[in-house]
Amino acid sequence: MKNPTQFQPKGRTGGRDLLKGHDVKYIYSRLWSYISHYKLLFLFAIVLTVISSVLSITGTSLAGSAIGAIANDGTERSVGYYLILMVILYSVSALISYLLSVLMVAISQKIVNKMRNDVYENLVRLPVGFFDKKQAGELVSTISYDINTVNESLSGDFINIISSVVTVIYSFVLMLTVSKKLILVFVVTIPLSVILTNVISRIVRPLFRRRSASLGEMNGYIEEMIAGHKAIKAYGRENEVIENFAKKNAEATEAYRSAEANGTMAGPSVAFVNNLSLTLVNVVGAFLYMSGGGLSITGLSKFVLLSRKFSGPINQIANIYADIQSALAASERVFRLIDEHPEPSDPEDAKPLLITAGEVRFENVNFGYEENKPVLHSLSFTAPPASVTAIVGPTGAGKTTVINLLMRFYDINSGRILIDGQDIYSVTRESLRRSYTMVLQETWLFRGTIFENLAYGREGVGRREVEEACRAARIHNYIMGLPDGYDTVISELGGNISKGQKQLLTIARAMLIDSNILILDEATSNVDSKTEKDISDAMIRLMKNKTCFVIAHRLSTVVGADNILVIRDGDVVEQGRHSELLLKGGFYSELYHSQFEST
Amino acid sequence: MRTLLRYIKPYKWMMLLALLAKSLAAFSELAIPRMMALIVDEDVPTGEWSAVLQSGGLMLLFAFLTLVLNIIGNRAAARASASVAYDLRADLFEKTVRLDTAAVDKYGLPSLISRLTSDTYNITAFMARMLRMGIKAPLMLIGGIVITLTIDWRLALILIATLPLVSVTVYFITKRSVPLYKEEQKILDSLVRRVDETHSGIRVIKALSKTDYEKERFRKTSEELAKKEIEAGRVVSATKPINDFLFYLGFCAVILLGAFLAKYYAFDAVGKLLAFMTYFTIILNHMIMMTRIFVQASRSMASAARIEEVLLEKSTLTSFDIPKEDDGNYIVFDNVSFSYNKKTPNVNSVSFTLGKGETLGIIGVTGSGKTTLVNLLLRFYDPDSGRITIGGEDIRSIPKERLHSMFGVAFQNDFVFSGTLGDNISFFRPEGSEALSKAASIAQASDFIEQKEGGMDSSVTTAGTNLSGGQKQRLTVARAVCGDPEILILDDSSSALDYKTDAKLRSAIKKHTKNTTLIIAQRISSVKDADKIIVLDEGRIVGMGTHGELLLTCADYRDIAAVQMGGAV
Repeated sequence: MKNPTQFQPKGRTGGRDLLKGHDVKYIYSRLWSYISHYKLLFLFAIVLTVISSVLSITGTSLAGSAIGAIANDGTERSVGYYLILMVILYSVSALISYLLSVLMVAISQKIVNKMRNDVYENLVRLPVGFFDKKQAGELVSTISYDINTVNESLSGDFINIISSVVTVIYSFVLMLTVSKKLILVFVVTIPLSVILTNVISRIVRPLFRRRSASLGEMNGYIEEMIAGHKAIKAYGRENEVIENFAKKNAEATEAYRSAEANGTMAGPSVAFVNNLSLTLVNVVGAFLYMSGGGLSITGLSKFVLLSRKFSGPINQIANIYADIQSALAASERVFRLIDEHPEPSDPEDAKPLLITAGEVRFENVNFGYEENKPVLHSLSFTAPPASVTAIVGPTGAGKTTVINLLMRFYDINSGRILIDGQDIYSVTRESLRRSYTMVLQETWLFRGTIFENLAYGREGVGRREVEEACRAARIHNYIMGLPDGYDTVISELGGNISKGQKQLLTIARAMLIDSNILILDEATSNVDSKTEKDISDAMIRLMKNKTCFVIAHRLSTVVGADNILVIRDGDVVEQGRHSELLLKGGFYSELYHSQFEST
Repeated sequence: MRTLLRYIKPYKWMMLLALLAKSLAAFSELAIPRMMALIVDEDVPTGEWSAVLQSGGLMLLFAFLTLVLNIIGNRAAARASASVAYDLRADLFEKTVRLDTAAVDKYGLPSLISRLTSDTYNITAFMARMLRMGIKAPLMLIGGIVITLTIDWRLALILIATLPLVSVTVYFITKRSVPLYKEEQKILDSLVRRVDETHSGIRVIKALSKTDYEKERFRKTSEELAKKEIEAGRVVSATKPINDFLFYLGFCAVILLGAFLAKYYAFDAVGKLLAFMTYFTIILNHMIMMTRIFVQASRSMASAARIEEVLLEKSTLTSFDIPKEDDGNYIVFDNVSFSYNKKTPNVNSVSFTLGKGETLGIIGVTGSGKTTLVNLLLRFYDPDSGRITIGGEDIRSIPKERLHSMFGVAFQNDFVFSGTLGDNISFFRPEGSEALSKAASIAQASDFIEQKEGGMDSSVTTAGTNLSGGQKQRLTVARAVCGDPEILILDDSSSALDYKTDAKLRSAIKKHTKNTTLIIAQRISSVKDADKIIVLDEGRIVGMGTHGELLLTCADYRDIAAVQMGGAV
């Protein structure tokens, strides 16, 4: 496997989340393509939001009238009349706002569920090279964290914006009908609160970014050093590690303190502006009333109550804006993953691979993982049907690359690869891959029962057959010793399963798959020699009548091969049988003899 | 809990400042609506402009005071909680790093890491919140009730009557939603696992053409998650509408009673009712806040307990006074037995001696106890019986610092950390660049280090993901030989190297160092030149001698040799 060379930071970028205009437009249009499936429901939600906000504000206005009625302020209706109306309005408004939240949660869940599936469906279509370069953490963060951000924005912000707009407009209109002069108070307070929240968020945003960056760094250090505790102890380096930690801890603490100290200024500041506006409304209102400026007691109380409703959304503008910005940045990351180019589709005239004998041929194959960095140069060889081809060579010489090309995990730059005379680029990818069985050095088991893991390669395989494979792979007894036998869930085994045992499980899995070509890439590197000997019969059976490719460090495993390809720096420097190569006295014999060399 | 108090104590004045400022802020904030009632009910009827201005000025003053006091309180709270967090993390980290290996096994790495990261974070966040709201919320609640009682006790009773209803609602909704969120978290975990597994197993998935199957599995989990979120949403969404409804219902009742009082008892209604509405909001908000604090408190208590557990962990690996008895051997295992779980032995009556400067090879199948021997020699654990001496001194009598300064160890899958290649070799020791490059050349690592841009200074990513298995192994071997330790231990640390590099490595070690060396391996070729080879099986020594001797005397050894060397012995 190719080693990812460049480091990619995990998780969310601490970036400023600033998007350019055309990007934003593009993201909105992509979002719309998801939302538009639920156009009518959204419309319904908007209607409900408007109704609920209007009802709630009307209720508040009625409360003002009711209070005025008590003071005998010349209102026509009785207190009781207003109260009954209020109770009805508030009940209906509460009911609607509940329905609305439930509706929005349902819609946004449907949307993000579709997004998640779209991301994943594209993910499994991506070429292997993508996974070699990207870290798992990044994908996880997009599929869980970013999608959740989109969800919260859809289910929360959307309603919030509409109800804010309705509330601001409607309460403003109502206040206007009460007193046009009193409205002027907001000429002072609204700009003040907008400026204040802007200034604070400008100060605070970089502080919070620094806070999460330094916290992340400290946590990373903790994770790393705790994982290395054994080495640290063995070398007695505890003091140095603790000292280093003190620095990171101090940084994280200071970043936390300053973010917290300044971030908590926002709440009291907004409260101050609210109180200021309350004071002004009261004082100015009182003057208007006393000077006969056309304000009644009912009007004053209405205005006081409405002004509280009015200033609520105004104070939230900064928050909502920040939420939307981060939701846009999150959806951009989601769409980028959905837009990632998948493996090119099969050519239209692609036929399924038809294996008659199982001959594999490489003709002048050139390949490099990166441009200008060729790994294989004009590689040519033929593996006759049912032969064993061993690939040996020093670490990093390109052995695994051959397998990557055979499986079409990576595509060659030039040359041809033929199976029974058919170019592997002219057949369907699925039929090509299905014709191989492979056991890799990196064992892969997923969370699920042992049986599910074993039967993964062949749906509908019976219990008896699985057990037989496990007996042959010398892992049956181990499995039977587990609490639930074949139904034991793999992840619950934790440390109770060794690398060697995992390899035996994947060998058993391979035994259940019927195909014509077998690939063993360091398949027994973690199995101890004794067990390796025990399973040799089974391995021979597994290899029988198949064209086999074997990669191994232990040269004893390749001694019996029909053809040994000795790869060095991307070239086949020698090939032939073991005995021939030894006689030749070249690189292979040097490699082979080094294991017996005395130092 | 008591341990936690110890961390709070040094900052008690800062905390008192925070609490005091927040209390004063609460009083000042509570005065504002009262001023409003004053203007409407008392100043306006007098018709005196100066009275209105005076009350309005007071209102503004209180608003400003509230602002200043809250900011002072919040800043003090931030400083105090940050300082406590610093101390707590520093101590917990130190404790964790020094923890006995047996204790590390007991907790497991993920648990120790989450105690250091999320548990300390929970506590800090809770403490900051407590300082900001812990005193303010009850003060606002009680103060608000008291003031409303002084405005009019009959109206206040209605308000008081709604409070239990609100807290009951919040309580029941929280109680129902917490398990739902837990289930949701579980499904989310398995969704994350799906993505993780897809990433690591993409070759297998593609090779077996299982993409459709995986898509279907993901689709099911994703659907389940959406369903659970909708279910939780149904419960949680009720909070706000119910509270709002209760609030407005209570307010309607207040107006009704106010109207009644005004009619029969000449009650100045307007300003008081407006003030009531404001107090009502204040009281309800703080009521909800207090309920939330209680929920958060239970979580933080659990975190505190988890932190305390580690802090109180005691080391059992203390030094004893045991007289030195030098019998000329350097390393001696004298009838050593040990078991991790104290049931089935992992090392059983193992005895051997090794002279200074000699090389010992240890070979055996997986699980035969090879690494356990190293763990005991490094005193990660004490043997259950028997004893181990180095140069005649029982290792239990050697202070830890001195004991560990003797070794250079490369473990199986050893620790590579983010930093430079040089950092990974020097490993926090003050080694010069000459020592580093010498170590690298012995470990056969010079070639790949020179190929990297920046050489020794080129960077290594977390867990060494930008290095191959063989490169990592050579790097840790370089670390082990660097500083020329008295005892060099290589635990299966050349398994990813080809035979040729492995052989070069061993001959370089032999040539350049005079250490006593222990080599653990699965390959015969790695140990066959050792002065002494031990063959282990199920914790017992089943063969001991040189390569030649063992081929004659030990059947297990012969078997391994036959498999590995293909009869070419």
